Amino acid sequence: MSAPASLYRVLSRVVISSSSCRASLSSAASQKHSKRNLTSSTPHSARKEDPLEETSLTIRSLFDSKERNKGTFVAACDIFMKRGPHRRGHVEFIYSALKLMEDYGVHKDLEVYKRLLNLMPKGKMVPTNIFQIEFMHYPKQQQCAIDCLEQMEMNGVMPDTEMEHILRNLFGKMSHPVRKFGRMMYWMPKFKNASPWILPQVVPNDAFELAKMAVERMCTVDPSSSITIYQTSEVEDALEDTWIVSGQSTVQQELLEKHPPGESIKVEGPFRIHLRNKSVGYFVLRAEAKPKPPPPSRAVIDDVGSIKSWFTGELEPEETLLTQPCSVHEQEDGTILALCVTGTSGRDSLLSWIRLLEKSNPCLARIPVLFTQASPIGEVITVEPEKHHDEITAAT
Amino acid sequence: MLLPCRLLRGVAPQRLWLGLGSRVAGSVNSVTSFRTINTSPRDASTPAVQHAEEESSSTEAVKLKKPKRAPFIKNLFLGRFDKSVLEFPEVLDQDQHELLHEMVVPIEKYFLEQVDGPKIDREAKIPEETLQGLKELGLYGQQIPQEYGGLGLGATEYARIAEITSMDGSIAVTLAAHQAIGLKGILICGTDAQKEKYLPRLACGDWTAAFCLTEPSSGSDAASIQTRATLSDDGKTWVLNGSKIWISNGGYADLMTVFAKTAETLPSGEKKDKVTAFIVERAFGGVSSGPPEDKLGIRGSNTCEVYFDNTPIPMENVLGEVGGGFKVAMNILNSGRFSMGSSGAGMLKRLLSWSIDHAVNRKQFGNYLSEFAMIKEKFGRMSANIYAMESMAYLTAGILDGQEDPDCSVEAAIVKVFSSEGAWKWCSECLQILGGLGYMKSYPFERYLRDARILLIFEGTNEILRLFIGLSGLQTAGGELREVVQKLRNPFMNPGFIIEKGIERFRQQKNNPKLDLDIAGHLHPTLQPSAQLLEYCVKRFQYSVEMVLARHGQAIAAPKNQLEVARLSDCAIDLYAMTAVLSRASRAYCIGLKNAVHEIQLASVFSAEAAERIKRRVKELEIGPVQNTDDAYIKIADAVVENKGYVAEHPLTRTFW
Repeated sequence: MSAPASLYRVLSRVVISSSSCRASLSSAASQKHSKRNLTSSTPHSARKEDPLEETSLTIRSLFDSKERNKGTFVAACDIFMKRGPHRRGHVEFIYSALKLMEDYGVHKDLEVYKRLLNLMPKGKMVPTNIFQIEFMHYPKQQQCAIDCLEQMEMNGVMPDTEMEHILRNLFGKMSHPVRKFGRMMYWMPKFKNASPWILPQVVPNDAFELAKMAVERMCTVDPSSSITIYQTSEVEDALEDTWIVSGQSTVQQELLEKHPPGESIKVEGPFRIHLRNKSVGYFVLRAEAKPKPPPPSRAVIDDVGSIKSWFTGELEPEETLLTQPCSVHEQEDGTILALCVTGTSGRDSLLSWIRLLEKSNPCLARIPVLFTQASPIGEVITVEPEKHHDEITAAT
Repeated sequence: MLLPCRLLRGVAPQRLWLGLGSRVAGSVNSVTSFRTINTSPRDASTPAVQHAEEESSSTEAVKLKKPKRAPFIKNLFLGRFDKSVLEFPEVLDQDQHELLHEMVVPIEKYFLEQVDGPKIDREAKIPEETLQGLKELGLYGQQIPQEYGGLGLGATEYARIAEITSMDGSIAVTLAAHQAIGLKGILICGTDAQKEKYLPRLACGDWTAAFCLTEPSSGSDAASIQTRATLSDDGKTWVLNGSKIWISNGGYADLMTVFAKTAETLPSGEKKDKVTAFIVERAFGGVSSGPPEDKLGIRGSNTCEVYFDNTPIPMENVLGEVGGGFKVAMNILNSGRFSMGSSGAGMLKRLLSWSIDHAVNRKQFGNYLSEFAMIKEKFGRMSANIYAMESMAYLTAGILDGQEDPDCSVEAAIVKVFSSEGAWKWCSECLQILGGLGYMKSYPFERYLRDARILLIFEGTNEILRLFIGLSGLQTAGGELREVVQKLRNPFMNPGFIIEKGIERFRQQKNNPKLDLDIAGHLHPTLQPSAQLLEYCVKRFQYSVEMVLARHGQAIAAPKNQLEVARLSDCAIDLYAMTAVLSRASRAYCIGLKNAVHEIQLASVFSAEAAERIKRRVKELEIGPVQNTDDAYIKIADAVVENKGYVAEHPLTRTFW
């Protein structure tokens, strides 16, 4: 009983190793090319050419489905998996799958990467001595796994412990893919939380949600900010019916209150703010920069003979200079009094915004508001909300 | 002089106090011999007590010549130590002393027997008859001169009475709101007509006073009030509009000191808003008050909002000058604070004896609580703290009574900060000694703890007062150190001066200042080590003041430098406490008071610890904000503010699986 079994094992081993050897030989020419393609191209540019045309050995038929989504992608992997115990050509299969992942919209999906790596046979490629470890046992397979990890890294997909187990079972604990995994696990969690403004892994496509996120992010500059959502329908004779996400802080309200009624203020924009791979156009209400009071001179600071504070009496405005710095909204190029994102970015919606702001800032009624023609990022065009649901800024 | 004593012996106490409290100004001339009750040396110069010579002209003559001295703490910022403070003040003469102690007995009796603290707390109201009793005792006019029907007490006597009235927080606050701040404005800067008109009614308690400064938008920042007073068209009355919040006695006060903005035309023709103080009677009309607030402690005191709707105020009811209200407010508040030291000490002394009572009766693990060193330590530290509180309060009161035109604003603030924090901490520790029992409503500890909490907040929060202490001192020091600081801040322009200063500072930088003040020479030799410590601290304090001024210049007043100012004021607080404690203990030992050795112990241990604290703070000032963790905490706070809350992730958060 044991003799035939062991014989079978030996035979199958020969078959598998020879097949993988053959595969590695035949695809050696294409590998250099495919690797460069993977690392140097951004996901966007990769979309233009059909990656299937470029390799000499590809497994086309499995990825020919009309409908390209996670379901069909996973189904393709499953079919390949079921082809038999040897899974011949798995390296080629994984390379072509990697290239097509974005088309299928699974390039940010950790589960799919795991599934791809699971296609490789377990146990067989684990090195048994230090020479094998150091000289890249099964180099083609290891390189394939590294490329897979590389693509994950490019797409910001952080591996997890299960991934480590897969890689260890494939190539052993000291192999190059596991080392690459280690480096990724050192850096990626740090980068993942590096931004103080946390966004979801995939930002929503909804313009309104994006607008709220954008305004919220910009309002973090002043903790006293509050965000209000208006509907233009609240304003009489508004032409456009859309929403407005408006952000203003109490400090800004005070600045607006202090603004001399004669001087005009401007609505400017749209400026662009990026939220991951989406962008939102926003508008600001800006007053001309007031000349900042000159900072207290050296001579004044050096003179300790006249220290003033609240208990010495009611301070003159110039005496508070030393103790009250300018607010963050008073910048060199102007004083930002409020900001907003509207559903259409149209001029009428901005007019509605000003009208709505008047409710919380009665002084706006006395201040002339100008709407600037020129936009820093191009002409302002009112877009139909239903047509361009996800692209709310005007085209450049 | 003998008459009141005779009266006291002959008449039932309550009868006597009724007489004292309800006396009106007109009757003063007929009852001349009552003047001895007016024990305040300050009033010796007022016209109504000219008949002094009838009795003891010699003592009167001595009293009239009160010494004029520079403010103690402000001068300490310059390293000048006024050694006259080391003689613990004895401002009361024999008669005053006896009278005070005879006065204390019925008040104490009244509080013990007639005042039901738990009930006041529970029902959040002081019963009318309790208030009536207080009025009959004359407690509504303690500091009002006798000519206006008050008791005419000096600061020292007032502080002594405050020790007793602190038996109930609500009553103490009601009384304080009435006379420490409510009517103090009339006493300090009222015209004779205003005094004639209002003080008699206030003294007997017919009228209650309140102090209206705080507004929804202006708490500590008194200059930013919104209430407005405008001159009527005929120019004869002011019309007051606005609202005030958290007014103690606001619900029933008949007279209020109200602060409001008035427009003032500058010589340049520009209009400017200035604060003005007004005396407003409720009867003027347009005054209404909201429902009493529900509070954590001092629940029996009446605190509510007060609204003024076109309240007309006659011209003669302006308190002080038009536009000079800010000064009035500061003067009132500064003068009202010193008594918190004695009331805090009074409260803690009672709590201490109650918790000792528990500790000697409760047995755990076979030992009485009083045998445990950790409990003993609490008693010991608490005693030292009470000792310091008392000493500071009566030292300050003594300065107020015994000096000509004293400036005790900083000292009073120090007393307030030190005693309010002590009261809160040691109240809590007393409760801790009782453990679970202390937490129960059936014991008074939790009530006192709740009542004590307000002490850190009202009459200027402790944070604001720390700035006040520090900046007042720095202001004084800055006036004199102007040239020095200018040179220190421009070292390359003044190389010779810097080298000179470096040599001068050599010992300071080695933490070994030259002790040449001879403080020990003014104290009993037993206290010599403590005196040396005090001297060392004074020198180090002077050094740190100069260092801080040179580091920041005038920008020391900027909000970002508050931590340094607070450190300086903490040093000043400890220095004043040390001075007070040593001066009192030295006096006690010299004149052989009972338990004087115990006082020496208290004083030595307190000064040793205070000196350690000062040493640490000066070190922190020396090494600067980067090394003393100030900067680190500022950064952390910035992040927290930006995040609008706690920033760190939850300990269970994971970034990956």
